[in-house]
Amino acid sequence: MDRQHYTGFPSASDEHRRPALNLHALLAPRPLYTFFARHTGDAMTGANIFDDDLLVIERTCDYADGHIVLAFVDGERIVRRFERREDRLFLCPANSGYAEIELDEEAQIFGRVMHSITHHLRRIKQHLPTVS
Amino acid sequence: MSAIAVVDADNFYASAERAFDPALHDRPLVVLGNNDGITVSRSPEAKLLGIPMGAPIFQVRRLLDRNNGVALSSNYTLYHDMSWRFQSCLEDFTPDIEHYSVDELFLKMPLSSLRSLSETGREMRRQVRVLTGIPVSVGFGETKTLAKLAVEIAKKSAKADGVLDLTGSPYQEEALSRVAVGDVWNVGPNYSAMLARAGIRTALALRDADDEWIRKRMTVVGARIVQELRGVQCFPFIQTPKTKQQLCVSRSFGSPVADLQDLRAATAFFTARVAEKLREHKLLAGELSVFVTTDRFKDVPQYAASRSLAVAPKSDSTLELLPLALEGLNRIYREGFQIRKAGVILNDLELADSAPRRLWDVARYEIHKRLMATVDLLNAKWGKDAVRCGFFPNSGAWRTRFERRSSAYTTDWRQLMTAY
Repeated sequence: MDRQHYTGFPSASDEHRRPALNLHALLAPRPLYTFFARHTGDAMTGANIFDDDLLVIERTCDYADGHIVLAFVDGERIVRRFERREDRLFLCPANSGYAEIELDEEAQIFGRVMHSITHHLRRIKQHLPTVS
Repeated sequence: MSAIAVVDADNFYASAERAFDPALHDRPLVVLGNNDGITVSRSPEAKLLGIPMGAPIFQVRRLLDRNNGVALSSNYTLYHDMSWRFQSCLEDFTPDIEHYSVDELFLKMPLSSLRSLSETGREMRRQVRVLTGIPVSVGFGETKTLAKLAVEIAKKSAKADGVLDLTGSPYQEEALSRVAVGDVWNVGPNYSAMLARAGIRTALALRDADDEWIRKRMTVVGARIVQELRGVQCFPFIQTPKTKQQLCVSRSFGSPVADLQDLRAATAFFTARVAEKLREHKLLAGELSVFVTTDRFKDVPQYAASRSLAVAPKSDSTLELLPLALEGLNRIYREGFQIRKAGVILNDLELADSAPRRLWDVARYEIHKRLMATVDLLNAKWGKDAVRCGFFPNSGAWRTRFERRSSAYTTDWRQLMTAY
């Protein structure tokens, strides 16, 4: 939306006017290949991805060691760290309570997680003791 | 020199569903249309089961259930978004693109000495698959008709693996001889039957048919099809879409509607939708038509009628279009008929910016423009129909059924996919 126009004297700052910052343009610069998902569970807390986080995911064919990816495994959507060891591919959790998954031919990687966004007020609420 | 490519998404609706839901992989999947009534898209597994296109769901339900199959309602919001994504992916290959339909587009391909068309086609297929998850097939030909023929063969032949280049191919004659004349682009079932009676059963036979005879029996359209099969471009490449000629919103009702009040509610809903579309395209309408029809496949008293009314001055305001639509409906309504389908059509469309406006219309126009912009904004934010014009119930038998629709994964923050 346009910012205000002065009806009196023109301001010297007019020519320095720029569009306001656009968070979407920063986090999803390639909207064509960008998808969003909601993370559930605690498998990735060690990588600072928490339950209920918003994930910004880009589809690509380019996966490297250490990328966090969304993959389709056995009919489920799973977020894990991608690791390549010799000729084998693994999906690794960031929580010692979970096991590694070895990727087979059937598995598909949907995209790589570019950002995770945590709503901190909601997290605090979740951890507050309920008042009865 | 250039060639025409056609890129066609494989089982587009089913593929769009699978792009987000791995639980739908490797099992028969059908997408239903027409109030969850008939199959409109089938996964390869569903095709292998022998489930035909357009089959009523009650006929194939047991077969699906026995084979761990799934039937989903159509999720047009998702398909529309995925269509935009996969078609935009191909802009990297050429600026000359004709967006032909939701799952299909034509491209004008410059010929390169560096890379064969087949290689380019495989690259297109790979890129669209990786970046959107949608599988596509690609066909190349000297004309649109030949490219369409190529893509149909590419889809069916395992050897082609989704890409076929028929330009200057020694294989072209053989390909044409393998395609039934009824499968040639723009040859309808009527012409197909007529041609078969005259002994013309394949695309090759049609290509080599006598010009005079074709022109007499199939008019100038037939002559163009034949020319296209010979490699002469007759169907133009339409790069930038023209201003829309007509907008229509209509529905087949979940169960038939006979009551005037219900039909008025449905008509109000159609009018709101079509006016929204009109504003989205920044157009004004000069004519509005309402129509109703009974189910012609059913043994009930038959009735079909429509009424057109002038919109003067031209308008894009739901408030101005709605009284006309209801008046039209009143004039065609007859008691006692089970109406199966109804709709509202807008014609005589003109770009809002270029429409001449009389001085005394300017104030009226500005008021409606601001009001409607506000309504559209509210509805975008709080959901369709948050603000409606008129006082009509928003539910009833006329509402389309979408009982098993997947999420709007890409257009609604509340419906994102979840990942563990």
